[in-house]
Amino acid sequence: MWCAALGGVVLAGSPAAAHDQLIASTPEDGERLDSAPEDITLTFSGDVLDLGAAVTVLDSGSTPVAEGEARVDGPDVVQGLPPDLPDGAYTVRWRVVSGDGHPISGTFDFIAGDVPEETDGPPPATADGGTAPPPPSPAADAAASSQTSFPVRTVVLALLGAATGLSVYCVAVFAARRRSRRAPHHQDQ
Amino acid sequence: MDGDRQGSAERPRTPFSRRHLLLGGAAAGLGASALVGADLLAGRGEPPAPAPSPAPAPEEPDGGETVPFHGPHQAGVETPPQAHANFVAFDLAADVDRERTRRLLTLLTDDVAKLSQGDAALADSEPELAYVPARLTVTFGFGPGLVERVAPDAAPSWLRPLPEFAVDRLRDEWSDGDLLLQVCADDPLTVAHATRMLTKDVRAFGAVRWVQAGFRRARGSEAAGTTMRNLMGQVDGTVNTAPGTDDFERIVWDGGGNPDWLRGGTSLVIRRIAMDLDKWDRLDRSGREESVGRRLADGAPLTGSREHDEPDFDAVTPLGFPVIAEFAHIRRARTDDPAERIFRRAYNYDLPVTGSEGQDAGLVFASFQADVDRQFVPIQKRLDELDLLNEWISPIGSAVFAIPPGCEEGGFVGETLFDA
Repeated sequence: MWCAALGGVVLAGSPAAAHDQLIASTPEDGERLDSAPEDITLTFSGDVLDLGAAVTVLDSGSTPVAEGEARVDGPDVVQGLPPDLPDGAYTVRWRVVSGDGHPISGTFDFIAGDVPEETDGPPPATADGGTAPPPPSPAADAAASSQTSFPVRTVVLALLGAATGLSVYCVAVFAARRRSRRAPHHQDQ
Repeated sequence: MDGDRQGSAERPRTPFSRRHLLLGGAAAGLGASALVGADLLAGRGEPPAPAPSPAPAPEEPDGGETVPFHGPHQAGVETPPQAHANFVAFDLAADVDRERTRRLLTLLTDDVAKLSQGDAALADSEPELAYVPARLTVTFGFGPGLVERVAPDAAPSWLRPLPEFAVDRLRDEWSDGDLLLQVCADDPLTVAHATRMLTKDVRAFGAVRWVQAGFRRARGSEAAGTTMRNLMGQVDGTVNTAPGTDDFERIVWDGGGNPDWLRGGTSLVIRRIAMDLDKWDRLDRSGREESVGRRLADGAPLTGSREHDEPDFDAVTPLGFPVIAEFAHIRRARTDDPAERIFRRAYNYDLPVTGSEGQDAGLVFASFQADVDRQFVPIQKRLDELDLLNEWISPIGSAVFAIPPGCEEGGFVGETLFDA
């Protein structure tokens, strides 16, 4: 019931998102490969628009090794990589236009070759799985905050309310138990 | 119920019995919905519309206002857009030659001069309807067919159908024409009456090819000078040159390469742009804003805070992609070449539909520019190549007209063409 109540509130608060989502990639997020792949393939939940698909691949020094327009083939988006990429940790940043016309973006990492696991690898950015683009810029973000903060605000309020409700209930139960302890025969009647 | 009581009687009470889980959950849910509900209610009531201060009653009704007809330029170009418009295109009959064209233009000029000043047209069948001019302007446009009849060698090079664009879904019934009358006024009854009177004038010379009716906000609904909104809800026409400026002179009136008879004139491109509003409905607000590069609320660029802020095309998201994407409409429409600009004066259209047909709505795009090929075509080429907005709009009509200069009293619109 708690889940249902909270879930209902959250669903009502978020925009009706019909965008495609990233469902798979080659390499996968966090995958360790023997050597650098020839290309990066992203697979979405539906055909994305053959327009504006861009994939940037950065090495561990944040230098782009591939960037710009990517090839769109139905739900697949492919970005070629230069041959003989050195071993290392790489970050993939992507932006495509969902079938409904909504630009979506995200990022993931992979490691090529025998590279020690970095504890503080490339910045994770917003691994949002492509549900919504990250806030565009401080200026735009400030103005758009009334839009984007709505579900967050709702969730926080819902959690606060739930906590309050639970506390009230616990206090009530605690009080009832103390009362029943004072009247031990009450249960047996 | 029974089972529950039995269970608690048989087993020692555990801190997390099913009953407590249920009741505790209910309490939590109640708390959550109470807070969220209160917040939503409070938010809804937040911006109370300021009570409109009662405007003093106008001493004269607006309908009496007139726009001068005579002058070096035709009215209806620099005129602040009236609320209603009919764009009427005619096909001239095959037997209408140079002299009959002159007679037709003289007749039309005479009636427009009267109607625009609130006087009845010649043989006006409903003269009372003429007495409310409501800033009526009628702008004449000449298609290739009319110029051909009068002075075949005097046609500007751009007076022809636009090149084909991949996005075009053009239909004959919304395209081309020999003669155009752009009838604009703040009152739809005035527009209807003027259209009828002028159409009757043309009857003996040709036939109506198409009529495109359009509208904007009613006069007085918004502050004068507010950029119009189209039916997709977008602020449409933010970057538009302002009449009376040197910039406007250059963009609209300075046709250096045009034939002499067009001095004081310009060109008009009319594109009927259908909007797939049902498909647009399925795109959420942020997606809509990103397709254009402007915010819906106020038309400010995604990188700015006010409508007329200059867009920052270099700004990037945390992931390094441009905030105003490569495919955003305002980026595609923009150019560094100051000559590739136009003056837009568009109207919305929304035709009645029946049954389960989708909405038949869109924009009667109208732009004035001294040279179609130099100014309009490069912009449209860029939008044709890439513009996310093309997912929801398609041009279904297209026409190009030469707009002759205005005339003085005793003259007629288009007389310079007869001297060419």
